[in-house]
Amino acid sequence: MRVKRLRLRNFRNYAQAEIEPCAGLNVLVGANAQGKTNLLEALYYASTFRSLRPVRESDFVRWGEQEAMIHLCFLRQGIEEELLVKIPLNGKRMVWLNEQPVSRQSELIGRLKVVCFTAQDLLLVRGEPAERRRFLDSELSLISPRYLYSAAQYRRCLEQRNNLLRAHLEGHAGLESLPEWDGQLVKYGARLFAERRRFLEQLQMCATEVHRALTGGKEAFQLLYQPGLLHRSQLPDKEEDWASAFQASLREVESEEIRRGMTLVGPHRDDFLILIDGHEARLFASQGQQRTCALSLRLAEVPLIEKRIEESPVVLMDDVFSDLDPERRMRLMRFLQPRTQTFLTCTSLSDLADLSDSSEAAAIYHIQKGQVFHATH
Amino acid sequence: MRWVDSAGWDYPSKMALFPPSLRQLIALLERLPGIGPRSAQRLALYLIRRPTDEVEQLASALIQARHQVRLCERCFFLSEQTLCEICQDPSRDANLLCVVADARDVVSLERLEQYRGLYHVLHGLISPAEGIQPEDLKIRALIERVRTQPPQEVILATPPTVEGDATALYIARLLKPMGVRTTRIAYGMPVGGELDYADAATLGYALSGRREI
Repeated sequence: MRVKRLRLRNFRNYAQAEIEPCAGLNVLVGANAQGKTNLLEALYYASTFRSLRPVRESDFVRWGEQEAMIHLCFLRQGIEEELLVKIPLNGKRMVWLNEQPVSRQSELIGRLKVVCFTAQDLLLVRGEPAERRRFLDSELSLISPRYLYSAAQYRRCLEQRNNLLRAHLEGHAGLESLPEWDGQLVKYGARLFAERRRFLEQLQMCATEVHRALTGGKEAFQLLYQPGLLHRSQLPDKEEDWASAFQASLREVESEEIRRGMTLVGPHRDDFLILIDGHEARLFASQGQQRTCALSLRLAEVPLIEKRIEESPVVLMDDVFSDLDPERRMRLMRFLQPRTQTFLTCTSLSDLADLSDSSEAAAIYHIQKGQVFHATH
Repeated sequence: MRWVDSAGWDYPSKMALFPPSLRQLIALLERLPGIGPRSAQRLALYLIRRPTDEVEQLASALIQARHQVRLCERCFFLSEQTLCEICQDPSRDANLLCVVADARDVVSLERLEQYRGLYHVLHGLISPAEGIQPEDLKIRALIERVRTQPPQEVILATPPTVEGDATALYIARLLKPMGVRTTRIAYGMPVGGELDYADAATLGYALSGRREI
């Protein structure tokens, strides 16, 4: 998959911009706050219809303007497609795919497949378990509609069950309906456990492949699923077995849950450990190793997507070079090139000095105050 | 002078110039479900321009409905008598009892002209998040009703949501020892629906609930 042309109008700090990126590496270089990430964001939004940052869509509209526009031409399975997005300051966003208006979000998401690495991804390694659960949820939701549905149902059951336990603790409700909430929690929870386990196995295979490429095979990378159950020694395989394991854990903690007024076991307590040479990366790895782990996890999406759609996604990398030594930078480029079309932001071309020979097809764009200047390599 | 209502809406200053009686009407209309400040203003301005007898008719209809409509003592559907029209109808099949969440569901099912049994309206679903526990619903009355006049079948027609399922399962558990046949309405593809347009969850249920033809 590759982007042939991106045009922006009144998007963020761009009044007008147009680039025709090359098939290989596209470097967006410029000082801070010039609009490098905004370009990535336009591509990310055209793929996911979500923002990279926690902002409203209306924030995409350039100050003082009424409507932002993203116009994108890209190749999908060798066929050129055209996506036009208009985001008004007030009102609903409108999208046209190949000149046809499309209102169903599900038909738009992932039309263009991107994999996007940002500094935020470091939290996958360093952050709280909630960060990793969010990662699992968003990855699985894209692959499995059944997962998306089950996760929403599970959240709702959990909220209801927690409310019941709390109301009981505060003395204004009995626990008559607890068995029904347990039953539904287990039904939906078991699906999440089973799908997360299966996904983590695939993720581990793909992330290991990436990690080996980035480190030259010097480090052993491993993911360890830690389901939010009492006994983690053996992980069931089938959904039914997850259901009985979940049920058993619930029974075991029931009196404590009633005493504390909250649900103590379940997929909402899941985590996975990232191990480097058998040690937990969160605690023992260096800054650079942690960044490499985060990259391996995020870039694992590349082979994952390739397996599914037999085409490589477009890769977006925001400020990826800090903390990486020149050797890992070079290995990163070798992994991405010529496999994917890559967009990469950096503040100075010197970050790329030692890469000049590694990428044949490269284009450099200087970004200055919301303007793009194309410089040939 | 600015006029800011309870929801924090900032009105054009001319709102404050409306006479007090009109302001009060707007404020009361605003409390109705689904009516926002703007709609309330529009409705109020419309109403005060209508002929007096029409407005009086509306006012008395409100008062009459409020005074005369109550819950049927047996099924808790809306009625002006002790028993609703459905419960009074001797041609209805007392062996079938359909349990629904809301009075509106009775109307939807009646529109089918296919179901000839009786109803039982719960007036809500179990939802601890909204502070609704089983005892806040007409569940105890349902169990009592099934005990004293057991039908052949109880159909649980609560919606296929987390709360609807929990409520149906809860009732099924209480009915189990009484030995009455208990069924749950099927869910799946909408009739005339294209497979292409069904969402994945619906399609999944339709597939697992398939039947021989």
